[in-house]
Amino acid sequence: MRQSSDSSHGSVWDSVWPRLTHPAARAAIAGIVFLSLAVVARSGGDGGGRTPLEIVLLLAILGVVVLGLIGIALTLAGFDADAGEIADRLADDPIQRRLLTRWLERARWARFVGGLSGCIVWALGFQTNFDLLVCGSVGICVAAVLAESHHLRRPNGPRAARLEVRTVAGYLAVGDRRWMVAVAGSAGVVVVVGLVLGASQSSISWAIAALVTIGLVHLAQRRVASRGRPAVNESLRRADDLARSLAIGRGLARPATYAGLAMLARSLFELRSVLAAGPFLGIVAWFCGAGLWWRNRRLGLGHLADEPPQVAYA
Amino acid sequence: MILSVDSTRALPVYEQVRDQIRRMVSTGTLAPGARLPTIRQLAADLGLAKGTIERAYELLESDRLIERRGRNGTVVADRPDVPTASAVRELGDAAERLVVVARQVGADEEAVVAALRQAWATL
Repeated sequence: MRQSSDSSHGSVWDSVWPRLTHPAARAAIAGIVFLSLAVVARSGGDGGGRTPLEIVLLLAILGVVVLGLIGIALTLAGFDADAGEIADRLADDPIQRRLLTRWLERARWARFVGGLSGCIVWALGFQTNFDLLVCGSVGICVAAVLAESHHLRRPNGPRAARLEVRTVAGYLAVGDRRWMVAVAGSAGVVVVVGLVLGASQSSISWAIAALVTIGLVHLAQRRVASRGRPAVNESLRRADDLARSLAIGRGLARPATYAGLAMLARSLFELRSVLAAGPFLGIVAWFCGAGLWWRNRRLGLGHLADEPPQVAYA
Repeated sequence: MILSVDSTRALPVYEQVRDQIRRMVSTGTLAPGARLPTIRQLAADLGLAKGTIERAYELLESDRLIERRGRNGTVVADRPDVPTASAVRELGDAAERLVVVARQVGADEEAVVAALRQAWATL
């Protein structure tokens, strides 16, 4: 009995320890400590008049938040622990698995660093102008675009390529495309309504920011679709198509959608002086964005069976 | 459909691209209405400058083998029912070149016609 208890405890520790010592986990923990210190420093500046009970409550809440964040960070930092397992579910042979594992590690690391950087920016004093969802999601968007900005070197001498047409629509699921179009369309409507009703400049700016985010991410998606690919065998071609599909859909479209929704929510809140329903619509948009982030928090890889990556040529 | 080019060859790369696509169209490998990749994508796939592919597409367009349809991309053009005047002229030039080669190698008219029929059946 004792032996089995020890062995189960040991196995948990064995799986956690490599994740804790991984550079990603160390960076995550350092970032969270930094974030917590920044929050404590800011709250301490104007908290001189707090009663002991308030301080205890504040510390308790802060402790719960920090523990929760460390849990999320460790889950996110464990990207390489299950990247191979996820690649196994997607790929048919070892070459495909290797390529997809590399892509997953790269994409998830970039998202993690981008999201954490956004949170740190928020904690460093931008709470009054930005909310956490905006900062985190913009960080993820920027990191995702940067992670997909690589390209192949041009070789000299003979080279070959397939005469095939790769488009964003071929790699993007209809649902993801509709979300992007809906957010961009809503932001456009808010800009027009804001101009007609004489809304504040910040409201219109937030809606324009949502439009620009969707537009820039769409350009990045086009770059990923048309990124060079020499003639390769069917196995590598399939793996490359899967990586492109994951990048264009889960990697770029969804972060752009929830970043756009977060900005749209801010815009709608700011509309309250000219549109009574603005705050309510803003809350709806914010929760839609937060829900989408939650569903896609690990690249939506938990829903692979329901939403398989799409690959189609024009 | 694999397209291959070699920048070390004497023939310009845009001519290599044009020749291969022309061959694919004439043999039916690329059917009328089939979409071709964008200039940016094909240039990236082959590791070439965009201008090189643009030049090849311009020549193919002037040959009336492809059509550019704005946002709908570049497609293989429909084959005309009656050969155009420039196509007839091009055919005459090719026939003259064939006759020159035939005389150089000592082939008679029957051998040339046989070779032509064989090529026609093969492609």
